[in-house]
Amino acid sequence: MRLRALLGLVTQSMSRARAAYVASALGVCVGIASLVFFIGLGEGVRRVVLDRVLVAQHVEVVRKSFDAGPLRVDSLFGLGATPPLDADSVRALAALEGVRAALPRARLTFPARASGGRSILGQDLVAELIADGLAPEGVEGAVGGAAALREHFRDPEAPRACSTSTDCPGDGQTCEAGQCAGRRCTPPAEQKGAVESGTACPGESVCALDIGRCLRPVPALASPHALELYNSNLVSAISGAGKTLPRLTPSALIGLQVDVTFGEGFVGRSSGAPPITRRVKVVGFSDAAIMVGLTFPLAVVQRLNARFSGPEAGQALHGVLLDVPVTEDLPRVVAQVRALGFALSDRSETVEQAGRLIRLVTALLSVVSGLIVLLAALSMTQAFFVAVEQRRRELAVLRALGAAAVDIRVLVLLEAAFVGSVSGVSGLMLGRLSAWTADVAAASMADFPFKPLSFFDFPLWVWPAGLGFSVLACALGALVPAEAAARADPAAALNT
Amino acid sequence: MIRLRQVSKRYRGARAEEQALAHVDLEIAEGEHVALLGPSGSGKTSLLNIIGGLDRVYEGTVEVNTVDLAPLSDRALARLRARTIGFVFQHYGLLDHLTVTENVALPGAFEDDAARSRFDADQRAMALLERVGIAHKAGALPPTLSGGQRQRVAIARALFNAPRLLLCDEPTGSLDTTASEGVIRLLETLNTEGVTLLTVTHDPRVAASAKRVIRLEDGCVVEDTRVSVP
Repeated sequence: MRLRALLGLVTQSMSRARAAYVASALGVCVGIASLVFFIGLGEGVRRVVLDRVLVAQHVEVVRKSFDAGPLRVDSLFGLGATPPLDADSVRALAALEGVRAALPRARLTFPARASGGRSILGQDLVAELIADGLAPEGVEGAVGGAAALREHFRDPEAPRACSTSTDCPGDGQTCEAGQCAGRRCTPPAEQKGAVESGTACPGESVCALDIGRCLRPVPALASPHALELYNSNLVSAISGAGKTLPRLTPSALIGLQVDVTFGEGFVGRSSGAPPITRRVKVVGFSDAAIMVGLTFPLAVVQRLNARFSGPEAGQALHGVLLDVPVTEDLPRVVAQVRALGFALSDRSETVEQAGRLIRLVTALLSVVSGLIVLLAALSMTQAFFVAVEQRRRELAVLRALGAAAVDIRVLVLLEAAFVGSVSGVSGLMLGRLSAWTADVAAASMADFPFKPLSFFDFPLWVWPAGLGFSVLACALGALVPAEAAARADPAAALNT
Repeated sequence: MIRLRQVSKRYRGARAEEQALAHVDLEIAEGEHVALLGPSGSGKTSLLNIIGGLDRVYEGTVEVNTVDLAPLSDRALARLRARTIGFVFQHYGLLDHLTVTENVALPGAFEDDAARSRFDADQRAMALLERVGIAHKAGALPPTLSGGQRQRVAIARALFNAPRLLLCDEPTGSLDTTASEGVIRLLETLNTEGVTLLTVTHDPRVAASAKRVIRLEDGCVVEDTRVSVP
């Protein structure tokens, strides 16, 4: 049978028998709409939760630990000890498939306190500082220009060899005994014990009292999540208490300087060395930065850990941050990490579980939607059985005019595919419209952290897959009626 | 054109098997105009369906245009029907949702002639409608036509692929006298142009127009008479 003629017959039949298939087509349409809706919602939630809230592309590897009653230990009676986190481990982790970079990370092992913020908040705030150190490669992708940040994201007190003062980075540094050194400074007597940022030091540098030298501020990265939490929760919470805090943007915070006292905080004081105060400057925002707190160059933290907690603490790494650019690679990377004997940090465990949960829920909802489509396809079977029975004589006439059994089979299946196409396209449009309506409704709700502009993310494959599934389901539904129509005895049908 | 050897056909009834045809031997030459008569249940329509390849469950040998139908695949048999055989039914068998032209052109859909365009098919359908005298109804739907007009459309459709054999099952069975006369004259004209006609009928006027009358009773040929033309 000629395809064009066949398609002509199909469209003619469909235009005549629209009503017979409407109920089934409606079911398929609703099923496809819900399938597309849930896949879009799942992808959207995954994007927001994994990529933005939990930053799934950053997996933090730690040493395996065990819960022993109220304590968490690295091994149980000498068993299950994991390899140390050192340079070799970092290299091994960096070589894993799916990992773009492995960034060593160390936490502050002593108390610290930060004060400042008057320039943007109108008053100074004093708070316990949570901070860690990250290798300079961690500034890749940070807000503020990665190249410039990489240049500035280094320990300002690290020894720097020089032959003349022009080899030194500026701010009044001079070359002394082959090393760059800040200008000597003496703060006014009334400011002793604090950082003096007056005329004694050039540029951005400030006088460090403990060494009597001008030093450039310690660069720090902040997390965009901290900013999100501040803007969505802290602002409204404090504003509700009678004060008004401004909402902040990353660019407003870049350049913010605060004074940090290392070795002393609200929780206690380090016994290893007397506290020191340094000026800290926020140089950028990065997803790799600690979620709440500040992230310094790794060398700064290791130097301070050695000063306040001893040389061994100065060498210790507390984690390795793996940069996994493709979120879909996460399960594979996690498996490789575990095979090396390491574990994931609690946050990364949460990421993995959240990812698994989102995938599971999306899969479940998709299965439910798929079942709706298949149930509708079953009702399609019934509808096509009735239609084929009603058209028994007509189909027999077609056989008499030269149609083979296979032509009749194809004719019925094409009619089903036609219904599936119309239902599928309608379902896709309905699903997209429902998503848009949900987004509009959500936009009118109160803000909350990480609230996205859209809760939906429709991968391109959803559209052809949705249409294909609809056509396939309808064709499957019509398979048995099509076979019955093809096998019907034309002579018997013509004689009735 | 048609050769039947020892053709038998049984139907499985509710209680027992019914013999529709019993050892029928028959030959019909090309260009003949044959009327198949007999009481209801004598096996006329069964014979027509077997010759037309619509019924494949029989014993014996059936050849159409020297081709044995039994070993043919369903596809090959369908092709033979499309190219060689035209069917005319008592109740016309028109598709009510298609126009008259579309109905007439329908057999073209089952012919593997890719060269024939839709335009060619419409042209041929119009020519056939003119020939059966109903071109003015080309765009009408079958339910709007009279019985005689519908049967003319059905005959035009049967002629679409220029078949050499026309199998007619009670072509005037649903028509009034005037319409019947018109259809009979049309069939006679076709026969004079070389189309072989095998017509199952109860209508004595149709039988009278035939050049050969075969009478069936209880599935057996009981009379086979050639009418001499004066």
